[in-house]
This record gives sequence, C-alpha cells and structure tokens, in this order.
Amino acid sequence: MTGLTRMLAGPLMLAAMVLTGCSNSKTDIEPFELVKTYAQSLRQPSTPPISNEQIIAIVSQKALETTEPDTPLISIRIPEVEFYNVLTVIAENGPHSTWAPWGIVDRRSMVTKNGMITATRALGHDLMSANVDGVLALVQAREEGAAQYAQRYLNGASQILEAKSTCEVSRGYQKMVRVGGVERPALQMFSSCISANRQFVDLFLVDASGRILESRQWIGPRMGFATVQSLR
Amino acid sequence: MIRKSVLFASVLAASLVPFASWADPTGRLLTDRVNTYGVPSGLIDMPTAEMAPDAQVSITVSHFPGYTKNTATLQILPWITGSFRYSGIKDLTPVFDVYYDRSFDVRFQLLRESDYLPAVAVGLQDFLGTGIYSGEYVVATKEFGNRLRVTGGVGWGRLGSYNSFATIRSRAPFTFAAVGTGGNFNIQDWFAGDMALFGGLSYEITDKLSLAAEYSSDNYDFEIQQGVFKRSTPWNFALNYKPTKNIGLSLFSLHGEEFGLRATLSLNIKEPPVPASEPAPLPIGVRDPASLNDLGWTLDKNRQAFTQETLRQLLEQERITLEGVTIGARTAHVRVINGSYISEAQALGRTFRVLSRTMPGSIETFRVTLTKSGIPVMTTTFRRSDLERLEHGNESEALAAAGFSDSLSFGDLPDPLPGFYPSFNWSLSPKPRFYTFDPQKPFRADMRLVATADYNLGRGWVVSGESSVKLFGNLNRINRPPNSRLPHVRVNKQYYNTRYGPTIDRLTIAKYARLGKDLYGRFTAGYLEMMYAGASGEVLWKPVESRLALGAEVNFVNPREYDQMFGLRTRQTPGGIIPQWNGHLSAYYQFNNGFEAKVHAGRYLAGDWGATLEVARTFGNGWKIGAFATKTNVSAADFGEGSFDKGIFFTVPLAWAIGLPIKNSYSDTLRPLQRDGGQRVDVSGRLYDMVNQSHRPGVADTWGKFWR
Repeated sequence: MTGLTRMLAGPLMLAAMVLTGCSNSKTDIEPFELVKTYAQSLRQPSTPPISNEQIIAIVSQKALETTEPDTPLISIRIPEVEFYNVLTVIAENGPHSTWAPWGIVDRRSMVTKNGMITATRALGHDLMSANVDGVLALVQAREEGAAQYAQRYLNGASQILEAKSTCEVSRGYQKMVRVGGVERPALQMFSSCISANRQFVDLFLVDASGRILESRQWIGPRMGFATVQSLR
Repeated sequence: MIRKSVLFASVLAASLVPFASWADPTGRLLTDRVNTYGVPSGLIDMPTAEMAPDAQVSITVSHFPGYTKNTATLQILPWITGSFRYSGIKDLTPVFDVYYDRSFDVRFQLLRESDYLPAVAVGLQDFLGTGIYSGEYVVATKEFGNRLRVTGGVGWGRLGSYNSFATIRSRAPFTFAAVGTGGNFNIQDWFAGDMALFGGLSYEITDKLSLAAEYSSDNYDFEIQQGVFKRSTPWNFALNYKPTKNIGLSLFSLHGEEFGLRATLSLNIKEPPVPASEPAPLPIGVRDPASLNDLGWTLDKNRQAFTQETLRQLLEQERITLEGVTIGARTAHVRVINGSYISEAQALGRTFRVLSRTMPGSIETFRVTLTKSGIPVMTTTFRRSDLERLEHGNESEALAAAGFSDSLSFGDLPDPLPGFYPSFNWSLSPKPRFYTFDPQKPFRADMRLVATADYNLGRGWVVSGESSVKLFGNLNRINRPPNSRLPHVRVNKQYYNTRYGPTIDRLTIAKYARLGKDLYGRFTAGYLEMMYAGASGEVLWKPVESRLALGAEVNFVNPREYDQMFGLRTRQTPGGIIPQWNGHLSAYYQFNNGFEAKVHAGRYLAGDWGATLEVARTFGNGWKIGAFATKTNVSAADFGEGSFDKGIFFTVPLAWAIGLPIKNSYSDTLRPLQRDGGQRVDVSGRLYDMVNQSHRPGVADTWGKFWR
C-alpha cells in the first residue's frame, strides 16, 4: 500500500469499526479485529528487510529439511496480489489437491488438478473453478493440439461469470529444471488461449512422466499470472 | 492507400487510448459522465442517449450562481436510469429566500447503437413533482471513432422552449399557482406543447479530460420571467476532468452568461471497493472407502459426544452457530443460525464442508436446517458422495444436486441443544437519524448510541428491546408545525425523533411459529416502534421453492408518549382520532433478475384504505435499492403537499465496503415529504423479509458463494 491509501484505510476502518459497534456474539467480527488489521497495515515497513524471493528461498529450504520426503511442496508467486509462499497439500480429492501455506496457519488456499490451477480461495478476486481437462491432457501427454478451457469467477454481486477460451497447445524446447529437490529434464509446453476479449499464454515444464514441474499460469483478469515450481 | 491510412489512424487511436473503461461491445453507449441534472450524459444541460454502466450509483452537485441541483441517480437496468433531485433556486419566488424543489427523472434506452445507427433514448424529466423542470425528450447519440460522440434530439416542455418548430396539443407554462399539492403524474402534459431541437458534441482528449459543446433548447422561461437568469446565446460549453474513476468534475459556461461547476461521486454496486476476503473455506473431507460401512461408532457414546463437540467448534470457527443436531447411522441433520454471511448459500456451503470433516464415514446424507428467530425456515439436503464428487466442479452441478425442502417434512428435525436456550444477545453501536428536505434547512441529522438486547427463550419466543440516546446533532432545531388534515399519525414524528433520551425505541415480546407446511406466523406485543405501542399479528404463506408469497397482518395500536418511555398518549389529534385497528393483505414476488415486488392492500394508520406498490432491485452482495408509492382513498387536498405517499429506500451492507463476513447494514427510506396518508406501523420481524433470503430462490441467486 502507498502512504496515501494506507492513511485513507484508517478512517475507513474506523468508520467500519464504529458502524460495527460491539456485541456479545461469538460469530461477529470484533472491532478489535479491524483495529488489528489497520495497525498491521501501518506497521508494514515501506521497504521490507528481506525480499519475497529471499523469503521463498528460506522457507523452501526449511520445508525441504523438516518434512518427510513424500510431502508435496511447491513455491508460488502471484505478484498482482503479493502472494509469495511455499505451499503444501492439505487435502486431496481424486486428481485435485488443495494447497495452503506451509508451516503457518494461513487461511488462503489454492486447488490444482495434476498441477494445473483450478481454483483459489481468499487470494482476492478468486478463481472459483475451472475446466482444464482438454489442455491438461495435451500438456501431460506433451502433444500439440487444440482444446477448450473455462474459468469461473464471482462478480461483485455474488454471481458466477464464466470465461471460456480456446487454447492451442504447442511444444517448445527441452530444458533442465533445477529447483529445490528437483533436477530433471523437461519439455516446454505452451498453451495459447483466446477468449472473447482477452488472450494469454500459459507455460508448463513437463517431465517425461507427464508431471508438471514448473509453470506460469493465467488465473484471471484481476489476479494475473501465477508462477508455480515443484520443490520435490 | 486509403485503407492503409485508415489502418494507421486506428492503430494510432488504439495506442493513444489503451483502455477505454466505458467501451462496451453491447452497443449500450456507456458513459460515466453526467450533465447538470445529474443524469448520464456527455453534454452540459442537455440529455443524450448514453447510459451509465449497470448498477452505477452517482451523486451529483451542480451549481451556477443562484442555482444548485443535487441529484442521486441509479442505473436501474442496463437500459433504464432513475434519478431523484433536490434543488434550490435563490429568489425564484418572494415566498422563500431559496426555493427548494424535489423531482424525479426516468430514461429508457430503446435502441442500442449499431454500426450505422445511433443509440436512441426517451426520457421524462421531473415527471413526478412540481413540474418546474418538466420536459420530455427523444434523443439519439452516435459515436465516431472512440472519442467523439454526436447527439441530436427533440424536446418538449422545458426542452421545447427555445426556437420551437412545432406544437402538439397544448401545455400550460409552469406557474406556482398551478402546482397545487404537487407530486403527481402530469400525464396530460407529457410530450405535449412546443417542441424544439437540441444537440451537441462530446470529445475525449484523454481518459481524464474531455470537452463538450451543445445547442440548448431550454429557454429558462420561468427563471427569466422571475429575473433570476439571463440568457444571451443557446450555446453551452464544458471542460470535464476525471481525476479518479469515481470522481468527475466539470467547469461549464451556460448561455454566454453564467459559469458553473459540477462534481460527481459515483460507485458501482457490482464492484465492491475491496474483494471479498473471508478466510478460505475448509476443504471437503473425502472418506476412506473402508469407513463407509463402519457403524462401530454408533455404540461409542464418547465418540459421539466428541463428534458433536468438534462439529460445534468447527462451525463456530466458520462464524456459524450450531443450534441442534441429530446424528443417525446413515443421516446427520443439523440446525444452524447464520449470523455472519449475507449469502445463505455461503453459510450452507461452509456448514456442509464442516459436516464432511466431522461426521463418521457411514453417514451418507447431510441435512442442514437454517433457523430464524428460533423457527426452522428451510432444510437443504446433500448426498455426501455428491459433495465429494462436485467439490471442484461447476457450481451449477452442486445446485442441481442439492435438495431444498420445508423443514417440517423431516421427522429427524433436531431439537435445540440442551442449554442453548435461553440465549441472550446484546449489541452497542452508533446510528444516525436524518431529517431531510425541511425548507429551512434541507438536511439535519443526529448521531445516537443504540443498545439492543434480544433474549431468545426458544420455541420462537423472543423478548427484544432497543434503547438509544442522542450523542450529538441538530434534529432538535426542527420547527415545522404539523398542518395535516388527517389524524396526525406521522407528521408528529419530529416530536419523537428529536428527543435526547434515553428512549425506549422498541420493547416487545414476540412469538414466531410454524403454523403448518409453508405457513409462518408471528405475534408481537409491546412497544412496537418509536411512535406506537400495541399488538401485531401476521401470517405468511411461502413454499421454499416459490417466488410468490402471500401474507396478512393485523395491528392494534395506540400512540406512545413523546418521551418514548412507558406512557401512552391520547389518540385525539388536531387532524382527527387515530384509529386503533389497521392491517394489510400482502403479495410478494421475487423475479429471477434480482427484482422484488411487494403489494400491500388494506387499512393504513390514519384509517385510510388503499394499496402500496414497492419495487426493489436486490443484489447478491446485500445491496437493495427500491421505490414505493401508496395511493389511498385520501384526496390530494386532504393528503397535502406531495399528493400521495412515495419515496425510495435502500440498504447498504457493511460487508460490501470491508470485504469481511458481517451482516450489519444501513437501511433508510427517503420521502420527498412525510405526511399522514398511506402510513404503516413499523413493526420489526416481519415474516417475508425474515424467510425469503433463506428459501431456494434467494439461495440460488447467490449460489456462486456456496463453494466460497
């Protein structure tokens, strides 16, 4: 936040707090929570002592050292919403995995289907769900072709909006992926998608078994791209 | 060659305008600018065929010497705009220093813009008021390139007063004498009288800066006659500046004589300032196939108690209150109270997620009953395997898999947890009180500290009270002696409103009940509202799947003492005796585009008989804006200024502004005038508003929030 918006947040929070009032209900937002949020926003130093990249590096190292070798770990960067984190799987449902920040209690999450992002929660203008099967099949098989792709969002009035695109999947170069505990050759797969009023290109690095090791994926118009790296 | 230069020009244009926020492929011809009347228009004093983006709300103040107009405008639908205006004109009449006037406008875009044809709109200005601004128009606007818009139209009334070329029927010019009680539809005058042409251009220099020039067909006849306005040319010019998305400023010259300023503040209801930032929901707990037939837990009392306690705690973590639970071998049924989420679908989604994480694997059916004021309102049923299968699918599949039914159809409807009732809730918060449109001072307000307490005894019995004390404000300066010819049922409000207190704003005992399938009942007795004490009974028929509801209400009332303590006043008032009995039959309908209509017909507080029509647009995020009108068997002369009761009402949810799950909101009703005809008792806990959002149509409207 800039200095000005941070200052403006104060009166807004105060107004909100005043309007909220106080009550004995256990399920209500307490004015104190709002004060805390505001105080935290003020406390944010204008230049963080360590960069987001350094944080990811340190947390990755720690996570790799302290977890079992079969614990899934990824790093994620979504610059648009300043989400830089190391995530681990908190739940699985068939091919879908729900990821949440590793090592801290943080109620933000993301869902992937075999490495392709299908949903985010509490990250901002969330991706609610997605149909990725066509593109996923081509990318995992490292084959070229065309497929349909759909992403769904909530508008400000709590209704679902669906953005449908047509994607052209193509092969790129072989590349060596070296991140965290991963060191493997992979093939670049591009997915160029066109929807009614937008186009974007996703990039996946896929190993010989069809596993997505690294990717840059379009989440949506308000959240932009996410960069995901497997740490194991 | 020509093609090349066109291509070059369009590339250049495209590079100069990287993103025009109002560019709209649907041909609606959108603008976020308004004219001096505060209605969407790229011109200055004249209308265009442009529309604001859907659900846009704007507040505009425009001023030139002696003349101020304040207008609130809502884009009701993509093709309908509605405006309410409060304006002041200095020295217009010898009676007032500043003459204040209220007026309503409505505009319809009948044709969208296409490649070759312009957008066309029809509008009524001041169609329900004194008629001082009254004028009608048919106008066309076409965009050339993406910066220049050209408008031409024909106007009647005010907009047909300069250089008119024809006349249809006759129309009397505006005079104060002809206004009478005002506030009526003057249908015979619409599109009648002299007609004239107007037109103009608007040009965007950059995204923030634009110019406008127009030829005005408004001759300001009445103002010139009263000597408050001069006019030397029909031409007006303006320079507009938009520092941010939500603010518009304009400097304009009017008829070669006056300079004026306009400022507009706008927001879009569909675009909250912050994204919803509730914590992520819990993932669905997917069962281990081995657990599906394990019924060992049914013999283990400890395990059952543990399950129930975990359920309660996890729900509390999700800000949902567990009221009761029945756990069978294959079915679990919970009763919950949603005190946090505006979308009931979101509360349901979170409850089902918690159930999937806490219930033993053998349970395949989940039922969630929402309760309000201690009575069950609707039960939603899911097969657990559907929840597991659809967690990451398309939201509409989950809606199709859900079952919605009347809670009374279930034999396993849980009883409240032991010790849950009586439950006591209190709150303390400030609340403003407004008094508007007093000619002496158009806007007054008090800030009060309000304490509420609800003692919920269970089985639908609720003792509830509200008390307040004034913190600061200037309502005590109101001095408008009531002159009503009807029993003074509301004009006396100023004697109540202005008290410092502490006052008892409400103190009632109520019984809510399910009278049968699809039937709800309420009985309330005590100090019902600020002005009346008595008893109120209501019955509502509303099937859970239905968009239609029918209701009936009967009230027995007596006016309260002005100090709003325990005493009662005489029913005798200068305008007659306040009758004790009043009541209504009501019909409610929720359309599937978010609109809601209510009709109440019956006897009003002053003993007048008639009907009220209320139409509101409701949004999934909790916003609600609507208008109402009441026509009773009271003549316009007896009703007094305004002719009949009408106004607009709105609800602004706090959650919209802060992005957190909280149900608090601010609601108010704005009337051009408060008179005594067509007034209802303001009893709280009316059944339709209590149950409607929890029934299937309301839940389905915000189903997108189910998995959020």
